[in-house]
Amino acid sequence: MSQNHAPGRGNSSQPTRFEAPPAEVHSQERERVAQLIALNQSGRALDFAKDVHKRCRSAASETLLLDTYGVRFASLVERNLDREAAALMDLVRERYPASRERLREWNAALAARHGDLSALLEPLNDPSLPVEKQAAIAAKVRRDVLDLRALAECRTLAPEHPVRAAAAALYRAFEAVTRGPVADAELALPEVSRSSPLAPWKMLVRAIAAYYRRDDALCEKCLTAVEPDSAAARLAPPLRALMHPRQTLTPAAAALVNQVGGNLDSLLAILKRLDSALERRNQPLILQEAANAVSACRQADPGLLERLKQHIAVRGMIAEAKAEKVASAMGGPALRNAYFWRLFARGLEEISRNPMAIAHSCSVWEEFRKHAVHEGWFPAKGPEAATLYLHIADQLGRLGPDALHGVRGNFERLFDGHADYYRGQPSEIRALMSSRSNLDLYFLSPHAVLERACEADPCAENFQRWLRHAEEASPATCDLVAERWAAALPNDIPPLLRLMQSAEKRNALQKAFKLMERAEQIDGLNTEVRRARMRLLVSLAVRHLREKKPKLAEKELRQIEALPQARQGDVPAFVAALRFVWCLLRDARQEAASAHAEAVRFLGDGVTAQLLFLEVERWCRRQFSALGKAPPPTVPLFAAFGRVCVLAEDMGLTLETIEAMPAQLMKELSAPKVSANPRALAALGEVAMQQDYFPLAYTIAGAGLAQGAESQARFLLLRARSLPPWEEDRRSSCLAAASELARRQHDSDLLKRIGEWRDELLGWLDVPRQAQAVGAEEIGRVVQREIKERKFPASRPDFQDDEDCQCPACRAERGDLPPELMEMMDRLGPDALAQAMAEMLGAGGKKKRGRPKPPLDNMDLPF
Amino acid sequence: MTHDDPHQVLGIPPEAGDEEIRAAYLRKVKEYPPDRAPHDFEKVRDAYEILRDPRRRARRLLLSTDPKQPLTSLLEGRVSERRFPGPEPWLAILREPKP
Repeated sequence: MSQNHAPGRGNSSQPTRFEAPPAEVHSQERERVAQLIALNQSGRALDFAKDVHKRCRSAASETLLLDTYGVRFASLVERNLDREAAALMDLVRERYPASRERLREWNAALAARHGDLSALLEPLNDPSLPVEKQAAIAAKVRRDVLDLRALAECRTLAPEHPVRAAAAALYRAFEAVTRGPVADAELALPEVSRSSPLAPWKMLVRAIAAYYRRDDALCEKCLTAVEPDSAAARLAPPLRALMHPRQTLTPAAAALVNQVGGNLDSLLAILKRLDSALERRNQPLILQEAANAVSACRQADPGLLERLKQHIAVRGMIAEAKAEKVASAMGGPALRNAYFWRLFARGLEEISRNPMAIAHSCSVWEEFRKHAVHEGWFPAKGPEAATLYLHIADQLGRLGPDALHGVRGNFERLFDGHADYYRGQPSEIRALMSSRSNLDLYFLSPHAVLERACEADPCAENFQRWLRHAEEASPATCDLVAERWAAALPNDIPPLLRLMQSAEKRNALQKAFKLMERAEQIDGLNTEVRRARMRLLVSLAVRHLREKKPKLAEKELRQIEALPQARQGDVPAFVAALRFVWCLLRDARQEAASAHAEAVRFLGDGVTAQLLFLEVERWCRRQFSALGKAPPPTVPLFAAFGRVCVLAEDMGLTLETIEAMPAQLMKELSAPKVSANPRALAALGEVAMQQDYFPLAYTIAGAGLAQGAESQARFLLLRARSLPPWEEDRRSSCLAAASELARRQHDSDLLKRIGEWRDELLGWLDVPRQAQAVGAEEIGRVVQREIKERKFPASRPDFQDDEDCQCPACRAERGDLPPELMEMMDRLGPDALAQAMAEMLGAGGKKKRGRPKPPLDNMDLPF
Repeated sequence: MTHDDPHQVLGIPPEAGDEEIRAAYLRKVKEYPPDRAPHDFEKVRDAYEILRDPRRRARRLLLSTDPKQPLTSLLEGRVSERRFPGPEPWLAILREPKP
């Protein structure tokens, strides 16, 4: 705008002769100016107003222009462009001297901006100040006064002036709510009325208090009540950002959000990027994002920092990032407390592909145990510690004994007690580090680990597991384990039975008997204990009968006869057989004949009695039977011998089939629709298996399967066991069906036997460790197939291309060595191998007790 | 009730002992009686069944940690701390030029 057009220079209401009359300001022009101002485009609004004034040159256009100057001035002041605001004021003063009053207000606003509110507030001291002027000042205070403290301390107004008093109260409240929790009374603020220009501050203070009380709804409600054009509204966006994170904040607002710490969104975004980098195993990106994550976490949630570092360290390890670099990126290593060691151990288990890694995970679990106990997670002894030891044992179970031996050797040479992981740790963490000199590698010994588990939590399950391990890994320690079990849990029967059986096997019958009596005191009704008493008394009697000591045997026989179980089933016949031998020892033939007659009466069949008496005589080492010729059979042989087998099983008697008996048994059992006692058939099948009569066992299984559903699981197992090695598919399907049936019948004994047999065969036959799941239809199909398949599969499948069958049976028949021994022979030569085998089979070295075994010749070797 | 973790269901810390677990269980049963909130009651009972057996609890303690869990999951259910920095950072916003 040029000076020529400035109406302020003359009387704008009286145009000169050469000037055109003033034009009207159109309403559209006013609207356009207002629109640009609303759009925060005060510069363009001012240019437009200048153009309007240039065209109109009227008082109305000048007013519009000066108003627009005022908006432009306010805009510059708000943006801290004070120099530009002052220059604009000078320009207006020069061009429009009549606008003095307006300039004074602007000046006051600029001073107020710098904390000098006297110019703005001074008119309020004038009691005659028009109401509209008062309202204009109030509006400026509401809109422009940002410094409550300056307002509260402004000496222009008396201390009791409502505006000053309200400002003082508000500043105190504002300080209080930003420094700590406040009581409701402090937020009442009666000094600030609803109509006060400082009322928006009151709502802001309440909003801040509500935010800290986690009442976000109230906070939002209070913020809504803050007038948007008021000075207090400047703090609404950061307060909203604290509740609902958003991206665009001014630097000071972002700093506030960080200091108050409400925003986890930026940390979440960084963690997403770090997760992605870890997934892709991109080391540079992992390091970069790890550093960002730690920094963001420190800002947003310092309480989470240590845990985050621990997770980053372990995820980095899984992603194969260099541990030192990850630690360096995080500004130091993660804290190695119990939480870390547990996470680390689990991480190692995830990636453990070789024996050393598995062993490493066990060593880390030991570190976890130490720290967990120290930090009070659980006591040193208790179920938690025991569970940990059992878990370590599980891990060691993944290693074979050879691998474990090798790993232990490596650990003894190389393991330093995780010294690297303790570097840079606080002293209380380092205090738990094991020094090289006092390392205990117990965690690499399943025996030691299970022993600790039993010490920590002496329960039957734990001892059972230790005992099972001892049975598999070092049978010589079984008795030791059973003794520890019996000492820890004196009322448990299983360890006593285990010790009793062990003594029985060693023929230490008196010791076995004492153990049985101990078990009897604990639970006299226990079936196994009752059976054990009978069996042990029989064994003692047989021993004395063998030693030809009838007086001693008499004592046991009387005890046997007094037992209730001696009067059940076929047992009286068995007792009569013992009494028969005892009578013969005393040469009491009449009494012997009575005993025999009594047995025949009990059994109801002369052939069964004949078979039983023959076996008992043989057991008692009587060379010649006194029975004479067998009576003509009245029942099938399988039924008679089956009953004897049941008795033998119960009494611990080992049977021997008599020549030609298998052929007769097979003939009888191959007949259609054989009816037999399943228990007797099962016992007969066991005898056939013990004596390697596989075709007989096969036939018995078929006959047993045809007897009905009750015992089909047992006979399916017998069929699986009796099949030749090349019948892998049939064996697997029989086993699977047997397992499923046993599971459905809750027959835990049978399931255990299936498992044991499967484990036994794993080493040399292709038997799956877990039985495949089969349905009822499949079971029925397998049973029907096995009933129909009566003929033992004696012939092997044909092998094409002259390829020999590699199953152990075919290899043995061809005279081939097992593959492992072939390999040894290639390496060591046949002589060294034969010598080694001879030593292993007991022909080498000196025997401490008993007669020395003769040296083996080549024919003694089992191949 | 939206939690699946038994400790969270009962509202107890992971290191809680037998007595604390039982007390929390009884408290929750009162809160969610079986006749009024059968679904929640079932959750409470399941959580208690898991935690009452010290061996099962110990097994959980050892094996519940997933070393491969996404790092973002660490923020789940986390409520950020609201700190009091005093009036200065708030006033700094007022001193900033208006954008």
